[in-house]
Amino acid sequence: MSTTNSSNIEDTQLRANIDRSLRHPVMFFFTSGAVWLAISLLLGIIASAKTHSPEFLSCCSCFNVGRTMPAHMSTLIYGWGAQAGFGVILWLMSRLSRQECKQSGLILAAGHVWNIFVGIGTLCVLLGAGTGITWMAFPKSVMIVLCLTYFLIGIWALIAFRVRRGGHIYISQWYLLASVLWFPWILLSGLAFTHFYLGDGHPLMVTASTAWFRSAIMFLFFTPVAVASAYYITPKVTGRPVYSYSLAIFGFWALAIFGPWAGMQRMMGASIPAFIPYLSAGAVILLIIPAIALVINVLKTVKDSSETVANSPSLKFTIAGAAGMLVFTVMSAFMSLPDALKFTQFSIAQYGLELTGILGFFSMCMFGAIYFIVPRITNREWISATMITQHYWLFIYGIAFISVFYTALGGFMHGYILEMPTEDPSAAVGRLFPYAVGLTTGFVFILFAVFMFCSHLMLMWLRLGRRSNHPTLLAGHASHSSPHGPEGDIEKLESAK
Amino acid sequence: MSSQPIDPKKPDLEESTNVAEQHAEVTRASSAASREQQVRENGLEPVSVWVFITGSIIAVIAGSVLFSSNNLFAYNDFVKEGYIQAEDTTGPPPVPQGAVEAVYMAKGSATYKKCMGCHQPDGKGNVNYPPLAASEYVTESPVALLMAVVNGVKGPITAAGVSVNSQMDSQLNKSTDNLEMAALVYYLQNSFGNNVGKIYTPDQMQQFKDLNAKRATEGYTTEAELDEYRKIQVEGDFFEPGTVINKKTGEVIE
Repeated sequence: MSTTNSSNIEDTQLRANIDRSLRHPVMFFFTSGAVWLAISLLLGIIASAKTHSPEFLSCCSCFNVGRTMPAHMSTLIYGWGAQAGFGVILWLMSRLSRQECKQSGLILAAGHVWNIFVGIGTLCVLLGAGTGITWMAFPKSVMIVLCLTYFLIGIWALIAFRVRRGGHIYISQWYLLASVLWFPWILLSGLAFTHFYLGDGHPLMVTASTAWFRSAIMFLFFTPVAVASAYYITPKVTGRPVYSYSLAIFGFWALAIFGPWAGMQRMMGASIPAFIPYLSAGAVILLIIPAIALVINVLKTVKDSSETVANSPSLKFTIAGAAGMLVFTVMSAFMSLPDALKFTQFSIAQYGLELTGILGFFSMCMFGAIYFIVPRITNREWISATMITQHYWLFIYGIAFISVFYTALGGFMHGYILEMPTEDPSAAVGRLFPYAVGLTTGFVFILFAVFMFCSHLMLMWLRLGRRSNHPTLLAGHASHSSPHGPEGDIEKLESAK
Repeated sequence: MSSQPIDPKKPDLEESTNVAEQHAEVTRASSAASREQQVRENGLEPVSVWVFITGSIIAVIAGSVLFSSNNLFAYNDFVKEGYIQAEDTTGPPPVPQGAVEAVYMAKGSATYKKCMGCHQPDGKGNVNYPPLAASEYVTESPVALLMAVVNGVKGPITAAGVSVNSQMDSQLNKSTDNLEMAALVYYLQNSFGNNVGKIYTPDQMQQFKDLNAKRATEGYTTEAELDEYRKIQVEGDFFEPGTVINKKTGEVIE
């Protein structure tokens, strides 16, 4: 018994040391990512508001839709998405490989460079120096610096995996390793095919390259990071192993094999060989399979732990994220059917789908991971369960509203109008008006949610969190029979003994 | 905290260290880590047959979408059947045009920018460079004017009663566009108080070019030579005032 205890304590100390070694870089990625998310939502609200109220902020050209829209997407992807992903990748990989991080200073410095260049790129876009390429609106030089900076960050996850302790490779490690390796591949291919090989060439090829790039960032970077986090959080919080390892591996290979083919369905009817968009449409439909694998595994794992689900913010967000993945992949598949593409190909459905994927699926999983990781790396507990609950419900309400009303209904209505070129243009604009207002409304809900999250995270970053043995739970309070001892300030409890 | 765990590898730990204090330190620093669930194993549930059935249905749908294209490897048919390209009804782009006086003044003043440093914006000249305002070499004949500009002038010269003795290098190439020459002549003859009013056509400038080709000497002109050229007038029809011309080519637009 004594041996077990002492190895347990050694193990606890190792985990605490890993957390401490990563405190600064991971916390920096999370907080700056959350701020970029808020900035991105503000820009998104401006861009969306201008589509239904063109006079809004018409004082300055930097608030034009043509500038706020790419700035909104770029900050969402490179400011929030990539940085939340980096934080989760580094922490999860170190924990699962049971290795402390030896170069946290270097990662922190690279994180600063990343943020500075995302800032420069956003300013360039707002001042009119953007490239105009979807999802790669930052100037070429900024994108190259971001790419180089990524290598300084991502390499440490690879190194942690290389020197891992213990023979077993967890399912999360598969996904993390894939995302670490796929991200530079996507980024370099996207840059090469839009700026170098074809930059002076055919705009059709640039469009095709970005169609693939957007899909690849979503399915081959955001998706594996989010799935890795779900496969870690779910068993960790419930204390039950992942329901089926083979199913998880099956989902991984389905994603790895079908994911790279997706994206080109947006080029349906363009003058590229016909098999490319049809192949992509098929691949997008097949991507439902990894989503089903994740949802089955998550739901089966938490099946008998309904109380834990009600209590744990991490688990709540993760389950919502897994459901979001299923909704996102089913919507993508449905909108990629050749008959549906007639309506969705050039309509707001594509943008709405991107929001559903990034906010409803990826961000939910990242929030779950952040609510789990931050108390560990700061040694403080979340301050307010109310704020977490408000974040959760406001965010879910906002993104569900956008997905149903804007993406699905608005997307098809827009496509329907586009299919009727004889209709009076002002009547067509009138038909889109409610959906544009709906998007702004949904964004405002999400912005409130993110404000809750962001301020909470800032307080944690300032080390103002609770010092307690007890995690912050959503429903009810810790009972006196809790195995963690009585509730209260941890240092006072210690000294009272 | 009554029974302190003893590390079997360091059995003497409790003698050198305050174990209770150490343990409290660990508890404080790793409160969250120590209450974590330890999940080392993986679930060994087999993949349900329903997953395979659902997967197969999805694969069948995906396959039917892939093969719903009639011809996957058609490299020629990129547009829908029955597609007709819209006719371009906008016509050719508009020709840049304007009244000849305005066009000449604009073009001439642009050319004059490089003369301005010496002859001054008001055309009054300075100590070394003679005035253009009221200068007989400017107003009497375009031939003398262009001879001076194209070949340069050296030696003493008196213009509009002002005598100078200096040198001007060639300012225009002898193959310069006729339109530009005509515009410069019009600009100089109708600015700085000069009021000649003749509107030379670009074609008339060819007469100057022919004369220039027949010059006896190469290089700078002199006062005596320019005095000869002052007597030569160009022949042919002038532009009527208000004639509309193409800004690029100088052709008359009806």
